[in-house]
Amino acid sequence: MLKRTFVAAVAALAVAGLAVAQPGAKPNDAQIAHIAYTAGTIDIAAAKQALAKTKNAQVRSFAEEMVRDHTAVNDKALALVKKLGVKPEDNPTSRSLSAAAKQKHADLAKLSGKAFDVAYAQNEVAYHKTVNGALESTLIPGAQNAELKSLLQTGLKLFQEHEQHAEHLVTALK
Amino acid sequence: MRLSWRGALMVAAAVLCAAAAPQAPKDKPGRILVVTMANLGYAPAILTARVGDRVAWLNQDIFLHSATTGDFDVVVKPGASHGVRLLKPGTINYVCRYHPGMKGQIVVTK
Repeated sequence: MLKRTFVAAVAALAVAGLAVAQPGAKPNDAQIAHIAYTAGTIDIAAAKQALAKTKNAQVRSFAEEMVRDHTAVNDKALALVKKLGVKPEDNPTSRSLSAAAKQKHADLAKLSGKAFDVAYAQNEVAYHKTVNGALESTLIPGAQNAELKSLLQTGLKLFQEHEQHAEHLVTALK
Repeated sequence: MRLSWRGALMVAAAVLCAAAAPQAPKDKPGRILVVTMANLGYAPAILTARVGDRVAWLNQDIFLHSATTGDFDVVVKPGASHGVRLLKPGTINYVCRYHPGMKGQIVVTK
């Protein structure tokens, strides 16, 4: 069942253009921690790009929130893996997430002004939606350690908030 | 609600902060009511209070939160607390301006 949901989640990531990982194995806690940390890092990088490019106050405020919140979760994740003595493991999903994010970063770099703001906000909706799907269907059910599972659940709630906030931003920018 | 020593100290600090707010009648010192910000929510989400009471928001999350409405904007850092004094009756609906899905309400009676 877990194997099937992992495949489904990877497929969902692929459909969203965010990752095309090799399905077939369910992720272990070290890999799950790495995927979650990578997802946060990607969103921080996207927010920093937005802060460097945008002049829109709402976009700035949203991007600042992304940096602040994801940094808080990632700091907590780092402290947790250190406490548990787990070394986050690089894996195909993390690598695919990073590769897709690099491409998206390059695409957004070509835009400016309102076109950039709208594209950034729309990508934030899509990205959070996709990561939420993976958290719900694969990462949270797959996590064996209770503290990691709890942190992922907090992450999911936060990502859902961000998805909603990003949707409001898209509407406001129209 | 039970508070740890640390929590009690933080609430006391919030009360001091709240003292900066406009003063309610001196013969009604009011109570201190604590609303916890945790797991991206307010607890209790609906608070019943009286005019002159102080509300202290205690942020137990790892995220910056606020209690924001037309009348006040209380920003609370992780691990900190901050409060306001309730000066008039009515229903106050507030949100976290950073996480708009967080919604709270205070029903203030005379």
